Amino acid sequence: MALISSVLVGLLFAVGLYMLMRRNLFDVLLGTIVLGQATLILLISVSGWAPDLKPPILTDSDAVIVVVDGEEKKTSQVEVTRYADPLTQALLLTAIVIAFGVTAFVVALVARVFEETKDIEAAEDGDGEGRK
Amino acid sequence: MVAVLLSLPFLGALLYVLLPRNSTALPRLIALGVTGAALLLLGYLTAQWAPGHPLEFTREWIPSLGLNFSLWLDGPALFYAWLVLGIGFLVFWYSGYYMDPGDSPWRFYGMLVIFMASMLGLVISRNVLLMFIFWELTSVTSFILIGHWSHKESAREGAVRALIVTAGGGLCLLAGVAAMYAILRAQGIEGGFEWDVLWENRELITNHPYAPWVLALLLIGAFTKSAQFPFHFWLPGAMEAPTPVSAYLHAATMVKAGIYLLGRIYPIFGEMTLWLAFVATTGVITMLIGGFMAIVSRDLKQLLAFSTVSQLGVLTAYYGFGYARLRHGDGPGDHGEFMLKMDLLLVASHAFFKGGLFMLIGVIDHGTHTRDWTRLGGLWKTMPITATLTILGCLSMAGVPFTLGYTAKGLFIEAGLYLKTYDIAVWQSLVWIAVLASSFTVAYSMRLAISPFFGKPRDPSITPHEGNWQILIAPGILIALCVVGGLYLPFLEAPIASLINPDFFGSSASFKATQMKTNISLFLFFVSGPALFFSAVAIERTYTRVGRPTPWQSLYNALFNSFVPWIAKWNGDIMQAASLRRNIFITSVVTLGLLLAALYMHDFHPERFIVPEHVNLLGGTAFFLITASLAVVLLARDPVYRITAQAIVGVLIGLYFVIYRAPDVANTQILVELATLAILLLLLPKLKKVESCKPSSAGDVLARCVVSIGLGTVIGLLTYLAATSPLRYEPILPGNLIHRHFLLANAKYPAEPGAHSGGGDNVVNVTLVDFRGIDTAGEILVLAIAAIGVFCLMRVRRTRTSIRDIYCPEGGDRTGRDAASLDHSRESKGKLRKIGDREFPLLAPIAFPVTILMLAFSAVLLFAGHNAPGGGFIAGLLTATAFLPYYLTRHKSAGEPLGARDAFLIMALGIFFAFGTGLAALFFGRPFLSSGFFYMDLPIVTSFFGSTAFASAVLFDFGVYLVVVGSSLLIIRTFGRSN
Repeated sequence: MALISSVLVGLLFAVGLYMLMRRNLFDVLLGTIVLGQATLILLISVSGWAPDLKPPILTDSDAVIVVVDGEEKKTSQVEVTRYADPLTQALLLTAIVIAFGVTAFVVALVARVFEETKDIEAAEDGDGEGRK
Repeated sequence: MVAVLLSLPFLGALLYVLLPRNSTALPRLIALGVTGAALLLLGYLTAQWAPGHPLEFTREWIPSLGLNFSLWLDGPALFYAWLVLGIGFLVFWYSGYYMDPGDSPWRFYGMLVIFMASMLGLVISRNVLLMFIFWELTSVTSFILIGHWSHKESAREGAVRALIVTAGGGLCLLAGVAAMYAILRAQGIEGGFEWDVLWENRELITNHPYAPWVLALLLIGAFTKSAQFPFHFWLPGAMEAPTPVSAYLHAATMVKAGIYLLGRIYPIFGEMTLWLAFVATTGVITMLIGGFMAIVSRDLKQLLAFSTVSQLGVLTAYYGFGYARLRHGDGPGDHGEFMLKMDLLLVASHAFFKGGLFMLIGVIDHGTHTRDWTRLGGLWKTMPITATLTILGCLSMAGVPFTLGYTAKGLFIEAGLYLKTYDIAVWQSLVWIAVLASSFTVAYSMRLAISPFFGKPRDPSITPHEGNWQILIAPGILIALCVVGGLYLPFLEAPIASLINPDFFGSSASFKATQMKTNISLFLFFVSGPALFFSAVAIERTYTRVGRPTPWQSLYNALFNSFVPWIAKWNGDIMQAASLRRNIFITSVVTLGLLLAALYMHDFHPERFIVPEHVNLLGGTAFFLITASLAVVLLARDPVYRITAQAIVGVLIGLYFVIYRAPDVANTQILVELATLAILLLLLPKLKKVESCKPSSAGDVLARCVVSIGLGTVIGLLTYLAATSPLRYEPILPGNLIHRHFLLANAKYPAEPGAHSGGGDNVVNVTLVDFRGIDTAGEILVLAIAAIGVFCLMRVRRTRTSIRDIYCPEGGDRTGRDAASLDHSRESKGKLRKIGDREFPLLAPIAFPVTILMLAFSAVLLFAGHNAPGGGFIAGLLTATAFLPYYLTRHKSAGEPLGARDAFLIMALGIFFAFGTGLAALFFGRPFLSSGFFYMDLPIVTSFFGSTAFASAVLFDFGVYLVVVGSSLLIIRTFGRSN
């Protein structure tokens, strides 16, 4: 999976970046979304993959009972290699939600630019004065 | 107590926030009170102080960066603290009679107190990074104080110039300090930001091959602050400041910061020949330039400014000559201590007479309304006290016997002659140049002492009057210190000598006054003769040079008026062009360049990274589908296709997460993609009216292609390297893998009995709400801010909208705007209604049941989250998207279930919950956001998912849920209604 994930990341990055540099603000908007998606795949690929990977949700077999001071207590004895990396996933969750907020903000910006200028081109140097 | 000493003036500065801005008397009283209190405390601390046992205060601040909040009062720190606070007190006293009471005293005294606090912090910081922070603070406050009379263009110019030079030098200092830290760290020594650690390991630093560069960086910092050649030009410009500021910042304290730094790094670098070359040469050149400029100055304040430049040169050169003491000293380090001790005497001497003289010039300025000495004369009769004090100050400045200045000058010459004994001819010549430069000092001291006070009044329109006793007492005290210190040397010498830690440099050296006296005759011989000569010449020259800038000034003016704006413009055009495309293009090119350079320099072996590729069938399919959809996003013309293809890419990425065994992430991703799709669809009607853009040129397209494909390739490569890195299989785990072990092992039960655990099966959720709860708390705030941003952006129209209109758009009084927009909406209403309900006709009948189902399921997800896939994020998104069908199918006139106010309320509640549970932990004496838990069986949820852990983390998760609901709802609703 590492190879195709990496190819995918490169592809998404290239496309997103290209769209970000286009004139059309709608392209810029889609570009930011694509870049966000590229980052998501990048993060998950880096966390590693194996055919027998398990989701990071513990089962009862992960706990063992030990006796401490005559008292029975449960402790973990997790076989770590079987599980997917929970840290990456937690960070991904926050990344997705933040990306949603950012996307919404960019959409609002594009919508307002369009409302104000009736135009969808990204402004260039010296364009600013002409377009009120 | 040391921390209290520092916090006193800072707290005093806070008091100014409470003051009304137009208050006249209070600002000064507070300044005097704070300084007085700090002085008393300092006196108490001094009584407790013993040589070799600095008073300390240390708290960890950012230990991973080596930044500790560590203060100390060692000998030099104690000395400078007295200087800063003592002269500060006199300056505040003096200002009350110098400044016009209507001249914004609030700002003036407030800023001076902040400056005093920063300067105090600078000299008592034990941590060099901390010192740097105070260092820059003094630059900033100096900038504001120089520009106090901001209506004057020259004041603004002087302020900017001073800031550019000193703050720029500060950055060099930071680089140098960081380099020393890095050098020590590379040798396995931690704490390389503390002065004492740096001194102990000075050989490691000076033997390092980069030592000359480190030294150069540090010296640039010191030289800019202390106005040494070639950075000296900012100081005369800084004289546009009110006179108390000049006396305090630009004569007595701030410009001494560079000298202070020299004294601190002298024990480290003093034995390097480069030290002699850099420091002594710079000091001597500065002496010459400053002395000459002072002689030809017409403005008395300019004269003092240039004399300050020249005398800072003396102090610098003194340290430069100190090289010989360290290098050829009789005992190990013995003379280094001697140097330091006597430096403090030099600094004290200069601070006293120069601070006093500045104040006296201020008195003359008040009494005659001019500072141009060619217009003054005969003031001896009308201003006798001022005249006496000024003449005494000038005697000290010139180094006439029986003043403190005499001792200081003698020490300086002696340090130079010590060099002569040991070193090669080139460096010996420096001493003679220094003696020559000292003769300038005599000349301008004579100018200042004679021209204004003797002879006949030159300008009959001037009616001088003496200052009152209150204003004269401040300079009087300073000048008296010079005289008393000169007449009875041990008065100042003894306390200063006791400051130096005898432990550090070995045995304590006694003050070698006898040796000094032998050299004084030399000094007088070489100085006085030329001095008289130069004075005569200079007086003539000055008359001819009146009003014309010197070549140096012209050069610097040209530099600052053309070069700096050019740099600014270049920076603005290239780096911050008003073009999104160009900015992104340049950023990408630079990033690509850096990445390629890193790959090239980092001799890596790609073959190590190649692993056999297992392709999951599902993954391969997803890959091809994503590629195909991406092509549609990139190439299609119709926005509907592109938006849809975009959403497909997103959902397929959700599938990808399934393959990587991340159920929570997959759920969230798919939900977010759907919400994004909905928002884009709501935007669509606006887009349909848009004409296509003009096409880009082929060259443009090619350049963009090259950069984006290049960057994509490199990032893809890096991803592959990271994903297959052999590091994961090595016995010593990198940080993130350790973290992974920790999270998995402690999620439900503690890995070791008694350790903290999260009490949940779903490790991702436990991580979010417990182990990394602070991240999550910050992140929901970001989401809320983004949502509010969206709301405001869509609400605020360019037609002036009042805040009232923004927050209660439905109700409220009808303004002209409403009436106008009503006409507009009436016109378009027919059209809208036609489309309105039929925008998504298939969805309309099932919208309501879908909403209910989604709401119910989101509730289940919320409670299940701790142990099974689910949690606040997913549940919140689901709740908010449940309202999507509603907005997609209803026209906006139909009303809405939840308004903006409700959404805001939900967000606020959520933030309250999340941070409330976090803070609650504090009441139980635990750190912020730490959780406790117990188990409980809920009637319905248990039958599906087992016991619910009632961890306090679940309450936190509920807060997360509410914030996500509120924010997403606000976003969806804003777009839904704006349509």
